[in-house]
Amino acid sequence: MIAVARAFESEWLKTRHSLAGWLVLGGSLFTPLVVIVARLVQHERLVHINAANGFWLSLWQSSWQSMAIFFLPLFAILITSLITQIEHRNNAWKQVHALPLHPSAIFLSKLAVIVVLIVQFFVLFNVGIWLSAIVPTLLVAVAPYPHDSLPSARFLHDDTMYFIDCLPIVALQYLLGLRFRNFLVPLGVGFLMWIGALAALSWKYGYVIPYTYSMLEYLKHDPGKAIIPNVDIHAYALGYAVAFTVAGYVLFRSMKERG
Amino acid sequence: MYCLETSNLIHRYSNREIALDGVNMHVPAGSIYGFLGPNGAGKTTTLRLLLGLLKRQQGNISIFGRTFEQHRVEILASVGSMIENPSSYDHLTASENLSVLQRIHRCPTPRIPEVLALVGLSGTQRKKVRQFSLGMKQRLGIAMALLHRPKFLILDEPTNGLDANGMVEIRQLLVRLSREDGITILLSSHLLAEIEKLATHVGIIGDGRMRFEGTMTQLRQQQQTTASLHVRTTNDQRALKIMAGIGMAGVVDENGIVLPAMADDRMAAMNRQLIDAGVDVYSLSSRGHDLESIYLAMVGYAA
Repeated sequence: MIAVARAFESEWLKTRHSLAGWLVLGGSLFTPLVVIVARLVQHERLVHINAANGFWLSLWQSSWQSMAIFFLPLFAILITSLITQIEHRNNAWKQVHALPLHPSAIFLSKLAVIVVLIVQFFVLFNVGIWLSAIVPTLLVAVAPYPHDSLPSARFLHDDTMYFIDCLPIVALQYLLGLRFRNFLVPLGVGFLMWIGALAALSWKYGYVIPYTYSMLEYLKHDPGKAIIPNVDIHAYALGYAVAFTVAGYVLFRSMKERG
Repeated sequence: MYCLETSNLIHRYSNREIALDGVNMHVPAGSIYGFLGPNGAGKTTTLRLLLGLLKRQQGNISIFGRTFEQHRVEILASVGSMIENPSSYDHLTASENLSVLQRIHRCPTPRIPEVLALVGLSGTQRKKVRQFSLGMKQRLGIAMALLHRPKFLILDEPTNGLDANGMVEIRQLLVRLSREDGITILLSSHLLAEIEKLATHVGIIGDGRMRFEGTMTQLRQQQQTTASLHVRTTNDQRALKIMAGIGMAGVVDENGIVLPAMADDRMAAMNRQLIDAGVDVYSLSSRGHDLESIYLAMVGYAA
């Protein structure tokens, strides 16, 4: 575990000055910014919106719409490819494999960096949602502070489910990113899987596609747009994530040429 | 005692083509071992196998007296390496690159400016590696290999991309590290002149086979045994008979008479005998007397 922690510190340093920070910032705050701008443009409706019962849940649901369908899967695809590309692009795998680290420490530390970046993405998105409620209120004098209480337990539950739902994407993209030097392969497969997932939403077995879960989680509140399966999609997501991670590690260990 | 020992190292590419054919290497502790061979001879493949970057197919590798596979992590903790091009992160500065490794090796932070000074990169501060020249990247690669004070340093063509001054500086640094810190250094090169200037031991590889292994002194002794004297005369057959009369055995080839190398006074005496016997001598020349031609002959090129 100590070796993994040391390797994690080292891996985290590699994300400095990279696009990772901007990707987290841009991806997580885009939707809240759009909400802020939309509310400021339609500020005359703000008094009515802020006074409504279920203010937070309504804001939460509308914010997650673009996030669950679009930003979260694409962020998972892009950030995983970006992190694995750091070694390929710099021809640095040979340096990494010549370090006194067990291959499992190398594999897990890099994966942990991706997971932490995704957690950062979730945290910032949550802060963004809160800001999208507060900032228009501060800027428009007549609008009251939302009197509805913040359903933090519900938010935490939903965050956890969405987080689990994106793990199979991370695990499969990680496997591809480690295996293929050419970044177009993981990105291409990722985009195709995402498009396939969108197309499969109205298919009764669509849930077998591992990129569908965040979409299905969101659309269960809007069932007309997708066939919601009568299975535990989070269990499927976890199962796929574990299977892809194990397969990724087996492939990583069995590489004849390391860097 | 050997710092590194390989026995019967065999490696085949995926198309079954043989890259290494029974390579036996013995790198004595504290030596500077020059691993010499032309491009494509198998140097980098050997070094990659030593570091576990290629899966071992056949043969054994032992470093610090321990088998590599069973003690990989402990061995690598005391090995510094730079294989082919330096592996640095372009988006980071030189000291950030070293910090990445410092986190793993747990060496003290002041060691970072120390190694940067050692390789002449102290002044790079906020400059990103992507703005470095090839020579600067090479220096950074060496700094990364030296960061954790390794006992064994493996460097693949370390002076690639360096200007003449840089080459001399790095050579001096390696000699100093070997003498003062007792570091064993294995460095590969395709340039004999470079190895000759700093190595104490040498291994010559050609077509995946070790052609020579020994000290530089032993290599220079080969110089004596392989050198020859070439004589061109007006009548080679008559000249051969005269030479035989004074105890010199030669053979005739398309360019004249070939004799083993001899001392200058014997050469002068033979010349005198030939002229006195009425055989004119057009030329007397020594061949294969330099290390370069011995090396080229060993790796399969005509000298």
